Amino acid sequence: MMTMILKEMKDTYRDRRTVFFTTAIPMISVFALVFFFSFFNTSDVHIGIDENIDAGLIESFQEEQREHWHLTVSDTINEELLDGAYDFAIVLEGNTLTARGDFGNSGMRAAQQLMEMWIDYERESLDAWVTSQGIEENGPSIYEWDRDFLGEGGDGSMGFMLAFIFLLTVAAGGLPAAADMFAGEKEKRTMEPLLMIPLSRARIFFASRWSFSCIRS
Amino acid sequence: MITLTNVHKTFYEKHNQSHRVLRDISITFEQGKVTALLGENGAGKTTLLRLLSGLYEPTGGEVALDGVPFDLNNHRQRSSIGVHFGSDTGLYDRLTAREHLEYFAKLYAIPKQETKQRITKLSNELGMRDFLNKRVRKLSKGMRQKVAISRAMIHNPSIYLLDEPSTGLDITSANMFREKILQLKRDQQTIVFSTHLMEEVDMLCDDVVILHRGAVLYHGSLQNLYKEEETTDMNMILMAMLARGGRVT
Repeated sequence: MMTMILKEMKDTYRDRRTVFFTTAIPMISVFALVFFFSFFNTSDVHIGIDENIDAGLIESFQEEQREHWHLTVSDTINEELLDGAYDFAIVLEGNTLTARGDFGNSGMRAAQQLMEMWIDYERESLDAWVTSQGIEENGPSIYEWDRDFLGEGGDGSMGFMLAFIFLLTVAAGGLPAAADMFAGEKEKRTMEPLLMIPLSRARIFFASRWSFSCIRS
Repeated sequence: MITLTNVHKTFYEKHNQSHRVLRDISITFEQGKVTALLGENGAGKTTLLRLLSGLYEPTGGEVALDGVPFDLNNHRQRSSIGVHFGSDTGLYDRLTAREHLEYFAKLYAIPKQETKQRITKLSNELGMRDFLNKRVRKLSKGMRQKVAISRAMIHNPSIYLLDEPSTGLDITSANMFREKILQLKRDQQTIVFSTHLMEEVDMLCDDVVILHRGAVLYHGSLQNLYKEEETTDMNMILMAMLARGGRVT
């Protein structure tokens, strides 16, 4: 069976075009995808901030804003949003902060980051209020959660993602070659000499099936 | 020795249509003899060879090898047959001629050293030395034909079934091939081949089988046929027999 699998691999991957279409094209696709997503994650985002929001929170937004953000503080935020001045806006309605707008990929990420800033601000404000009320420090334990990555390459999720996409595209790229292996046997009449060898047809079928799987992956 | 007893073969097609390709064939191909299958295109020569090889099962009747009914699961029977499948050589374009022979030798469980010796011997006998390491894609039709013939012979079978083996071979290669067939005959092997080349029949064969529309018009020795027809011109004989067999032009 191994002889048949090795022969199929050799027969399939000796062709430069097959190698190109099954390996190079998926790799190029992966890099193109990465470039595409990174480009959209860092494209400019116009964000409107409602002037009625707590000044401390607005200050926090402004201090921690990213390079590609354009924050505008205004008291006519809803009208300007409808006029298309912003991708999205943080609007104060009663006691609720609402992120409203037409979110693109970058906008979604920016809104998420703004929400995280708000959570930090809320916690700091609560801590300050608790202290100001004279509540003793040995009260109920309130933990914080933090992430501290030791490597320089971020949290590794991007690497995992890339590896996953790469495997997926390589597998998809190998599919035509694998399909050709099965259909091609009939077309090129290469199956008939194989059927003459002293092996059961089931073994020949499974060897072909294994070769198919190996080429796919 | 291969014996066919009342063998017929029918192919069933769409819409319940059937096509009877071979009718009531009873022939014995004897050991040490070369038999030619002759007939027009579509007479059933290739189907008969495929039946003999076990690739097709007969719709009725029996095929037996040395008196034992042919069984696809009988590996010894299958190993005793070498088949060449005609101009559709069924070779892998990206493998070299040597790799083809090594691959099939491995599938027949022939030891490496012996495989080497057999490849050298076959390449000398059939004139393949110059292109043994070239990929099949780059070979001419005749060269491919030689590789396919060698593949059928790599496991030293005792029965050779060859479908138009000399098609596409140049004069030198055709002569080398014929010499190989004569050598196999001297080694008491059974050889059945189809051909349209009458000089090949004259040169190689002991027996001939003339098929017409799936039925046997003649089966017997070549010498008897010459005697019966009062000529040694195989072209004339074949034309006359096909005309007598009810050929519609």
